Amino acid sequence: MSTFGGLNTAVSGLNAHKRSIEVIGHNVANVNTEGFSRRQVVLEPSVGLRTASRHNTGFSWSNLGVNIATVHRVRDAFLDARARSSAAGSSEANKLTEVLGTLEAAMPEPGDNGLNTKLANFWNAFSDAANQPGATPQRTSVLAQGESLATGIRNAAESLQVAHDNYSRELGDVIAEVNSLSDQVADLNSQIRQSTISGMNAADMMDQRDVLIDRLAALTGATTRPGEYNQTTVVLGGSTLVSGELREHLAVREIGPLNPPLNNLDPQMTQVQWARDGYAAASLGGTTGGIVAALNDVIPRYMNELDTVAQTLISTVNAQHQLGEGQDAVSGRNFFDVSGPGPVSKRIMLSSDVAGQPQNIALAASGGGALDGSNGYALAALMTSATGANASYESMLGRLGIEGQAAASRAETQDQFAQQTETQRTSVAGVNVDEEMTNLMMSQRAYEASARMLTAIDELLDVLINRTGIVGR
Amino acid sequence: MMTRVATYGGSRSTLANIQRSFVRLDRAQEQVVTGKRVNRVSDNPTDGVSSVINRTLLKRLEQYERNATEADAWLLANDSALADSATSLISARSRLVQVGGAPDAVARKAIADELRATAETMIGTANATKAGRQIFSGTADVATAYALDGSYLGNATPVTIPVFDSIAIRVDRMGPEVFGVYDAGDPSAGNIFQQLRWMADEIEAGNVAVAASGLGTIDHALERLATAQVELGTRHAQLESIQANIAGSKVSTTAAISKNEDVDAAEAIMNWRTRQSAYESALKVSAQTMQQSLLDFIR
Repeated sequence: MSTFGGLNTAVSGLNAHKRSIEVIGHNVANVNTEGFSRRQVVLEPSVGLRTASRHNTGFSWSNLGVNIATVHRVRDAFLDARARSSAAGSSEANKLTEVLGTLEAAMPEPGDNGLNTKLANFWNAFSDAANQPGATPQRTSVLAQGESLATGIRNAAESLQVAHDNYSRELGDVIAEVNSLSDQVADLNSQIRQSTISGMNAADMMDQRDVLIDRLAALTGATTRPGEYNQTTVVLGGSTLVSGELREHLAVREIGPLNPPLNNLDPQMTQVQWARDGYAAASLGGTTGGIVAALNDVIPRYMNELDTVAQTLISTVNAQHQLGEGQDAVSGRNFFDVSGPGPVSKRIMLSSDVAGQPQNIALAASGGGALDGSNGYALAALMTSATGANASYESMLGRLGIEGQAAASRAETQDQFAQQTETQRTSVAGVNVDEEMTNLMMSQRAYEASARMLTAIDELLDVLINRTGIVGR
Repeated sequence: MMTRVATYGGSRSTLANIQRSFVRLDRAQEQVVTGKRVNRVSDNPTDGVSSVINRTLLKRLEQYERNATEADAWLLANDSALADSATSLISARSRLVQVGGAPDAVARKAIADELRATAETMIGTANATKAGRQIFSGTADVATAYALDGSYLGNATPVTIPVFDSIAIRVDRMGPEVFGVYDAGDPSAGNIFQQLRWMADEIEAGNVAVAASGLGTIDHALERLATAQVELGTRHAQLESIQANIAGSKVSTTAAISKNEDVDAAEAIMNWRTRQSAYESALKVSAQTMQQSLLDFIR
């Protein structure tokens, strides 16, 4: 052992604990940084050369002290995966809840502004007119209520279409964000690889990348696989989105009509595809999955239901209306009509048989006399018909309400689950100030002790160098 | 079992819990402020839809109520017209009785004139209207139910008004049913207007024997009127009981809607208070725990 070996040992302690304190400082500084994984300095005793030799007594004094083995990035890949998949589930459920809420807002029931009230007013207008079949104001009021009802249905259909358009646009934005995220992840992968190969610490870049992947997972339900040199491979439905520095992009396309029975509606089937080859991206989850489900299923389904209401209204009212006759004793007139082909709910309007011609409203039964109101009463009675527009509107509301309630409760469960897994994840990776303070005290004490060691050895050397061999001087 | 809690994660989950507590408070507040338990169907699909159905029912009942008022007006108009006709006939009858005293030509002319006047008055009564509409002409759109010569201008379709589910009340009497059927060939066998005029002609011409059979004719006409009045009375009684039914159904439907939609104010306010104190305590506890760390205790 050399004369100054003890100094080296003390210095290694000073270095190691100073480094520990710096790392603690880094941790504390990042206590509120999203996605930050705490660092842990892993110390190990220096191991001297132990070459077997004649002079080797089994313990080398040549290299005492402490080494920094590594600065560990504390992270649990399993918890990461769980947190990401639950975040994707929660994003999807929340998106669907939001969509159903939008649809419900388009049909404000129970209340005085919904279609239900318009329907009731329409039917009652027939009764009121039938009470005074000769009075033009009451007949005009039937036309006004019919117009208001048709407008109400058209507006509701339009609101559904607007909702569809908006979510379609949102999907475009989301996919653009996904593409930009996959670019960033690939770029970071490449930098991480270079740093790792050159032996530098890439932990901060890895944190940054993992935050981006978290967002990517919440948006698409993507999963990850560890790659070499600390890179991460991002997988979407079995296909690779990012691998190393290679990245794929997604695109949104409309690929023709929706599946029956929704194929007669205006919206087209929306598909998220791989931009490179046009293949459909499979098993999308997260926000994207939620929006795609809304675009291809939820919104069109309620468009179709509203269409059924409109069709039922037109067919039942017209059938009864044709049986009766107007003040000119002519029967066979329609009350409602549709303008042009396409979804009925968007095009329902008063028939040209009656529009602006209140005298043509068939209040009288055929041959019943000019002041007969019995067909008017029969039209009003459609209100309570089990196969009428009210019944089909009510069943639509029921389905919408149940689906909305189920989605909301699913979203709440998913939220709690996501929050729980996130807490678990941060419980491993996150910084705890109390813990850091304790570590700080420990490192500080160790630093002090190492310094004391240095002083002690210095004093020893002082004795040796300055006070030894001065007898008789 | 979680062994450590990250400071960031801890405050994040605290925040999430505070937010969830706030959402619950907000929902309770919405209920108190709107007074509604079901603000959208998804709040409670069963109650929501039954509330929508009940609102339709209520509208229907309100319509039935208006229809019943209309039917009532018809019955009243009919009743007063019939009563007036009966009064006219009774005065005509008392004139006919005077014929029994073998009156002279002047007196006979006076009686005949009076009978003719009665016929005219009755035609006027038979042309009674309700809100501008003839009440004895069925569903025909005519200016008068009877022409001046006593011929019927209306049709044979009755006026019925639905006043409840599957209950329609006939609210009119057609002219021929009340006043007899017009006979163009033989006025003596025609309606009461023709008969009165025929009797007037005969009495003026000196055929006083007509008076005796005329009394029977008038009695018969009075009987028809009485029958019609009884029938109207019966319908009126039926209508009144239906109106009571409608009113009762309205009350119960309104109650059902309110039961479905409205909050119990005491319960809602208590819920809100409970959630508010839960929220406040969440805030207080979080404020206390988030402030503290080891830093507060070392050196």
